[in-house]
Amino acid sequence: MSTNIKPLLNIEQLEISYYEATKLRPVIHDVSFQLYSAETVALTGPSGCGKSVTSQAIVGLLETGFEITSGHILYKEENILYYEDSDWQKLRREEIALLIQDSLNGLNPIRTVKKQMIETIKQKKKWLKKDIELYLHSLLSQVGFTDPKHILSSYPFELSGGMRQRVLLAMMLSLRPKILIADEPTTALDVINRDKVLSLLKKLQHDFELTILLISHDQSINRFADRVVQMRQGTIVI
Amino acid sequence: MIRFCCERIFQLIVVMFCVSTFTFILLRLSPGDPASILLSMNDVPASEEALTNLRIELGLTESLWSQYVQWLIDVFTGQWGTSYVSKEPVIDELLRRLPATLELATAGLLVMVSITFIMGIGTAIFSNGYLDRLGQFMALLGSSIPSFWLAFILIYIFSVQYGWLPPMGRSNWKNLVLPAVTLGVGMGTVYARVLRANMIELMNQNFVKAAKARGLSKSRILVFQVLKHAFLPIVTMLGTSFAFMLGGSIIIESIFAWPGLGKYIIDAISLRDYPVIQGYVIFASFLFVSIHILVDIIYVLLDPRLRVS
Amino acid sequence: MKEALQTNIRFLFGGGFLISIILIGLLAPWLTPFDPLAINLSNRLSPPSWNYLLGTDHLGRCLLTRIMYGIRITVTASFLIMIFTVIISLPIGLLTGYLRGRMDHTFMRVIDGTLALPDIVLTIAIVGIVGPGFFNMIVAIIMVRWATYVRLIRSLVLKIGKEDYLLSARMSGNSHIHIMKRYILPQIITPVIVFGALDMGRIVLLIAGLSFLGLGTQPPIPEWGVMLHDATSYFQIAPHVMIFPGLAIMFFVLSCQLISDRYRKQEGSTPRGVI
Repeated sequence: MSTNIKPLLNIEQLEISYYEATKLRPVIHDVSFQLYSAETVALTGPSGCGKSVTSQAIVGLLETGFEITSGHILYKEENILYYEDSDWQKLRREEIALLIQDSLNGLNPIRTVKKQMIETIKQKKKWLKKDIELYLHSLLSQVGFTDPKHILSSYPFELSGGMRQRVLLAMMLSLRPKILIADEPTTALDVINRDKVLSLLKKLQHDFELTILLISHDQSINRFADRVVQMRQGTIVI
Repeated sequence: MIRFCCERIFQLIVVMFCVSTFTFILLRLSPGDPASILLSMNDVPASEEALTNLRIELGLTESLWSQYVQWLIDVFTGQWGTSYVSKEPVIDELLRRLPATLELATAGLLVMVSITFIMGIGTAIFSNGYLDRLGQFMALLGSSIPSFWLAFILIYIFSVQYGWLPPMGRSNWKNLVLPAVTLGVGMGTVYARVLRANMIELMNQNFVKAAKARGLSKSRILVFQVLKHAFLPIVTMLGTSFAFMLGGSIIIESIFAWPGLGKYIIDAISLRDYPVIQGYVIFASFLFVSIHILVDIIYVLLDPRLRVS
Repeated sequence: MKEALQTNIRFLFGGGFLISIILIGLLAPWLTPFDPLAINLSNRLSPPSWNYLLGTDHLGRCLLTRIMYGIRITVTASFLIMIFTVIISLPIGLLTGYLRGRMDHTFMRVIDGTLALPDIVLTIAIVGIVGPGFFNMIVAIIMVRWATYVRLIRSLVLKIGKEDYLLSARMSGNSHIHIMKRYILPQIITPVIVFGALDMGRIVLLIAGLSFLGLGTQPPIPEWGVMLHDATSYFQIAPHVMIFPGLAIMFFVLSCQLISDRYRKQEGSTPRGVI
């Protein structure tokens, strides 16, 4: 990577701590890495090394008790740590999409896929009714569904786990993000589906001009990545 | 769905059957002979002859078994006898008093639901704050205060001390306020805790996390993702609590002299008006089981997961 | 951690309250110089004073004394009810839960139906038919409450019945009775007692409510519901005759609630039915 290209996302010396009986205990420290436009980076490391916490920090969704205690997260050279709630919502809506760890259960089981997808895309702009249909259909076929109409009218509990994950993926992509963070996208899947999802991500990266941060404890995803960042015990090793 | 409804209707019939049998047995076991009670109520001297005649008229001389069969037939055809006191059919008397009781129960439910929602959502959003503590305390009080005592306190404050609201009767909306508040407050505070717990549990669910990750606003998530879900168990509770409102209204109606079913049954008990008492039991069980079934059906309609299976 | 501490404090408070209430009831004759039944008309409806700490009622009887003696009635009645309910429902719940099958299914439907009727409605109906009185009231409450316990015990047995060690116990040749006695009973007895503690409060409310309506305990027996019943005609001129018996009921129920609070979260049961 040549040094004169600015990184899209730049994480510098990040330290995140956890409140433990009124004391702050760092759980990750000195985490620095960069994401450049249109590349795929794998962030790997054993379970519990702080990968998920890092990804949550990037989109401002740290769980209660966690707090960023030092360092910077620069997105397009803007420090997003000083964001207000509404700025975070805008960032998640338009720039960085996070496919959460347990993405198989990421949909409200008692609302139809269609309702939830429309709800998602309507935040960005007003849509005409027939445009919506077309857009949703194309999105769903892009994530590999052959019968989008059926999927739209289904309730999530009627779909299989892998299908739900792809629906959620389509939902995240409907917002046209620049960066997609996929937190353990393969963990809950069987071996065949793992490769499928990873190839799908690769294809989507091309279709949607995405920058992807793949997070996994599984080293085998490395072959899908342009670059690998390794974490261990709360810090970067490579 | 049809099978589900059929099963429920069958359940209703079985329960009605059990309740009828139960009241029949109780009545036979109870001390006091209906014929002599009826005679003494009409101020007729209880001569042997009059007693025998009346026993034959009431069918008391037949075998227990045929009395039982006759009783079952009467129950299921709506012939619940005539009141000893007013000489009118029991079912008419009951139906005449039903609207007043329904009115009170609905008002009580309204009070309960508003308390549940305002306190439940409020304490869920500001959980572990002062408001939450207050809610916890109120729920503890709400489930410990005897409703009849609360009624007196309210009457003492609002009718005796300040004279703002009438303590009894049923003439305009002002009469409704005190009994409805008495009925609704206790349960409302308790259910507020339940709603709060549901909402907090849901807010930590994955689909809420994913919704946040899609940039949905907080209020949108609260209303569309969390509340709708949290509402499901509340619907069942609303149904059961409506039934309990009807039950609780027995005491409340007697205190506030509200001319409904509850006051009627208490009056009937003190007058030993047996046809009314047994008619009330049958009527009440029909009412409650029906509400129970209705709630089940609504629940299925609301939760698509149940609709499929 | 903090939460656990809080529930423990609440548990201790509840237990402390309950024990002191029972002690006061037991020691009532030594704690008060008055007779709960002695009528003194010259002293009727007098407000709280040094002589009568909580004032007197419409027949000039000391309210505090009557409330203290009332503990005896309330506690005795609720314990009697509790014991008999458990004696009746334990074998039924055990059998239906253990044997299951078609009979169990029908039986549960009936119980579900009965549970749709509020306690107070059924008890009032029973007492109404059989006639008011202390004994009839207790019988009526037992008749109404047992279904809830059968439900609880059955669901507990069902939960345990799924465990593998029961199957292995059966494989190694234990009889059904033996399994029920040795494996199932010891496990369900604690939750049943805990549920009973919570239920105590509810039963006390029920007893007071029935007596208040004139269907349970009859005057002049010093029982809290009866005292409230007596107060209906006088509370406008002498509010203390109404306030203190009600407070007594509330304190008792509150202590039961505090005790069971500690377990309710684990059980995850929703409270139902407040009179």
